[in-house]
Amino acid sequence: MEKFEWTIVVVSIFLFSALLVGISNEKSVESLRCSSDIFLSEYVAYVYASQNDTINVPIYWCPSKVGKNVSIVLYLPSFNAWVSYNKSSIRRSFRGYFKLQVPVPIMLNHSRNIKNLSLSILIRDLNSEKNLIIPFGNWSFEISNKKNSYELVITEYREEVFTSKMDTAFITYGLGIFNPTNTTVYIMNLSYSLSPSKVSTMAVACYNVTSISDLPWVTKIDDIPKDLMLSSGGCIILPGKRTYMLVYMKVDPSVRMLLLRPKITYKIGNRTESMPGGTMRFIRVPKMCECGFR
Amino acid sequence: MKRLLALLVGLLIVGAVTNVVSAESNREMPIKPNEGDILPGPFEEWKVEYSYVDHINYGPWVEEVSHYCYTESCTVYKEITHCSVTSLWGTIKVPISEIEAELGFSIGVQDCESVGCSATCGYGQTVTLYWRYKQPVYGVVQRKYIVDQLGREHATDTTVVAYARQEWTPECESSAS
Repeated sequence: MEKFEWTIVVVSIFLFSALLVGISNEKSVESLRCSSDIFLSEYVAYVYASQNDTINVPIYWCPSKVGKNVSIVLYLPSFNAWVSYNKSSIRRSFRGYFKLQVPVPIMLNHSRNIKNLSLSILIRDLNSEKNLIIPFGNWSFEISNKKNSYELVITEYREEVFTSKMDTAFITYGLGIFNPTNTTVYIMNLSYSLSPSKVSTMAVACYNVTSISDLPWVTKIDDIPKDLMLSSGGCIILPGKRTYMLVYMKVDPSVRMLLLRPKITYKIGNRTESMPGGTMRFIRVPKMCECGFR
Repeated sequence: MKRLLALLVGLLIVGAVTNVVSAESNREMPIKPNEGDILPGPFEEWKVEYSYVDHINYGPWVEEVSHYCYTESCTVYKEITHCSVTSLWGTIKVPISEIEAELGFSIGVQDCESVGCSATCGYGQTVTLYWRYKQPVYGVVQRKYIVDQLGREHATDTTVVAYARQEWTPECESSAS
């Protein structure tokens, strides 16, 4: 009888150990997700800017298991720009990723396409230090001769669009433009110079609404009433008034991250001028980031 | 001996339950019905397809700090803080927890946000930091799917938008000359 009881004890210990191994395996699946740093940073970008403009470009970070004393330095060698963050200045953003802004000072005096930009990253923890070089993407800069003062004011714009969809995406870029002058302004176009096979405009429309939140989320071109489509005469903004514009775009699946600071072309009196719109990012994030700081 | 036996059996049961719960919480895919299974339905299901943030500016840029650089390279840093309350409205078809996970913040809580503004400049340049408040308004686009009796999902043309708001948040910009 005693022998039988010992057999039960041994079998129980074996089964319990097997269960513990099972549990630890389940947890290792969880930790695998956080076993390396994942950065979303490789943009296809078009920026319309003046000389000496600075734009803040976010990258998104899903960290590996790092401590609460983590600090991170981002350095963009091509623009000699850097920024550092500590834990308290890093905030969670869409889909659980942490958002880190990279200041990009546009010290270019002529339009230029720059391919395969890279970003250096230094991640410091109490007992460790990691150096990484990550892709920052292909950038097209169009430089305006004008200084930073523009006649029209961008009051609202769509800043970020996120999706988990990896197929062709149809997104909307919206913005509100205020005309503080005493002359009527006609917005002739919102444009960007990117390969049409990657990003293309399906429609541009003018809306007389009171807030950017009143612009519809367009899922097909028929959602935009024909009479609101941008005509050859442009979109009118009376003095002291505001109008809202919507650009309905198609983004190829190969574009995982898009940054767009479009060129707004407008007529005021007998002049044709241009100015930058608000900067929008479109980011595909297939998986949620559930990793954090210890 | 009997006590030891009871203890081991107890541990075994606890271990088994923990393992089942652990497996349950780590499961990513729902169980798909077998071919030929007849499910109740068709019924509708909603999924988040896009989420976005609109940026609404308030007030002009205010100069925070200006610095002339006497050395090879200078950095100017300033932290600006604002407390905010979050809210949710519009058409909400998915669980609020799902919206919170998409947007990366909780709804109905007050939190204080700090933005670290920094800029670099080279010798002989002046760098200026500006800040102003913005109001982020988030949209969560949810699409309706029809799940048929065999468990297959069919996307419909119906989408609705839920909106979430963070109150005023500081943002910053810099220029070097």
